[in-house]
Amino acid sequence: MITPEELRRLAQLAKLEIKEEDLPALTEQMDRIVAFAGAVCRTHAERQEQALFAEDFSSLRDDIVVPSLPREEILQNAENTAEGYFRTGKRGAEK
Amino acid sequence: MIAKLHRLLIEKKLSSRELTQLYLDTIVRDDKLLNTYITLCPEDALTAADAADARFAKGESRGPLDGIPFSLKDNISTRGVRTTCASRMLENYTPVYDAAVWEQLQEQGCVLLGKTNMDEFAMGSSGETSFFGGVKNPFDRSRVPGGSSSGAAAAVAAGLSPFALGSDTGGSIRQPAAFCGVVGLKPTYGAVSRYGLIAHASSLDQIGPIAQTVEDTALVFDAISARDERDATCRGKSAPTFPVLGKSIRGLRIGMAKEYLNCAGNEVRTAVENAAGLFRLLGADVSECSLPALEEALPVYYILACAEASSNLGRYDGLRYGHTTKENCETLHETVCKNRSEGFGEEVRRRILLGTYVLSAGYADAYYKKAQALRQKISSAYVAAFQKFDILLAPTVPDAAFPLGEMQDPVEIYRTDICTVPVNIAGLPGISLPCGVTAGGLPIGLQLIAAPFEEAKLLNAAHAFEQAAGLSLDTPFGVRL
Repeated sequence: MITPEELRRLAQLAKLEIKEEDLPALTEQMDRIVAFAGAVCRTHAERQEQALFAEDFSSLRDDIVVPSLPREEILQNAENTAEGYFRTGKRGAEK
Repeated sequence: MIAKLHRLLIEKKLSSRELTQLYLDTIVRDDKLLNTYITLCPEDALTAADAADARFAKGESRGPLDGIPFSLKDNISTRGVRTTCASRMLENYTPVYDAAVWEQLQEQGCVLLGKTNMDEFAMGSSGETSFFGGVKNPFDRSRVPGGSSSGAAAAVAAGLSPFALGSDTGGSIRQPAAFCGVVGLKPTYGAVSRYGLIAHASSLDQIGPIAQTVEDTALVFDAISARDERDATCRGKSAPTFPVLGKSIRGLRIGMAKEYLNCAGNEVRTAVENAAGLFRLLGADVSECSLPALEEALPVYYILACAEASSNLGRYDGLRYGHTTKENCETLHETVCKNRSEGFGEEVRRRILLGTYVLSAGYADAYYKKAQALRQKISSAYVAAFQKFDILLAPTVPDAAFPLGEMQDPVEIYRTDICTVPVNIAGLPGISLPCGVTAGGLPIGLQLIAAPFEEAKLLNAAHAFEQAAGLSLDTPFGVRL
């Protein structure tokens, strides 16, 4: 069963903010969703060593250096930049 | 449709510019009622159309898709064209590179009309979770078009795009195709490059075509299925599909898993059973089978998909791109939390939380690792089934399109994916095509499933049914030629 404290912990891990007024409804929703997913816990299955697919996904390309995307293009989507860097503000003390 | 349009272009009865302008004008006229597009690209589209016309004037053509307008789901990267995933998080994001499938279709001479609406970050089955407003079903605008490729399917159904590319993680091509009365193919995992597809769940996502006919679907699939070294999971197709359409299906062994049929509503079940009857008349050998492992597929899917999504969406911190809060924050963590919480909608936040839960210490063994083991069990069940059958036949969705706003409980919406998610879990190719309508005039989708990389067999079977069934579904919208 999901508790509000558990949900706060999950939100912290997932870097999401949950408003206190939304917590009761979201806890109830998540509890139902987790119960739905929990059907797998009641089913027996052992992980097998064989690969999921018969296909071999291990083919690798040669490690050849090619030009990267231009820095100025990559920075175009950022809200805050400075001197060719992403600017995030001070880290500050974590709570 | 595509062959007919291409003939008009080659014979110069219509120019690609005229055709493209016709689609653009019709979208402006009709899409205010359907909301299938998020972004239109009129200038680029007409430039591409002019280039196609220049080729035709010289007697040249890049192939059957040259000069043909189409649309891309808005989670497929297009350099210089906004790509939002229907999310506030990426509302103003413009990719700096093209997805592999877009590169391939540009090489074929296709004309991009615009980016279609979808459920946010491909998480949804109704088309209602988009930050840019929900999409309406062209057959009944009080009903959902399905999702998450809601705009793609609705645009093709409404005649606002000759064909579209969507993506399918748990049914997101097939289910809206069923609800909107069009054809939608989820290729084998690894048949189409995911390079440039904004990731939802990387072991489940596949890009695929949505079109009005199986023939069109085959043409587009052949154009986009190729090995790509930028996606290590992509090996391309084993054989072209278009040339084999029309081959007899006499003797084809078709299995109907009763677990699929048992979950269908009466009208859908009747339509699927009638489809089985038509396959028998075409000479196929249709029989019932049982795949009990399918009953565990839904929770397995949501555990794996949400676990992968929680990891994939961890990149959205609003610092390098994406939504940034206007609030003053004391710490970097607080900034990132606010960026993410403001940027993501409710369903995305729920799935991230579920994914975080099933991967967290103390729960990963019980949920995630168990789901992985069950994934193998489901895949093994299909391997065994394909020893006895060439194709599996099933409903695409248990019922036809439901009313807008009806499904408020997330779990209730998840349950509508029951027929589609097993196919993604096992990495198989699956196609949805129309097989009837309800008494209320809503399309019903038939799903065909094949073994990995057997798209040629799958599409041929679908084509045979389509030609024999002779269904014609039309909406009051779209281009008329």
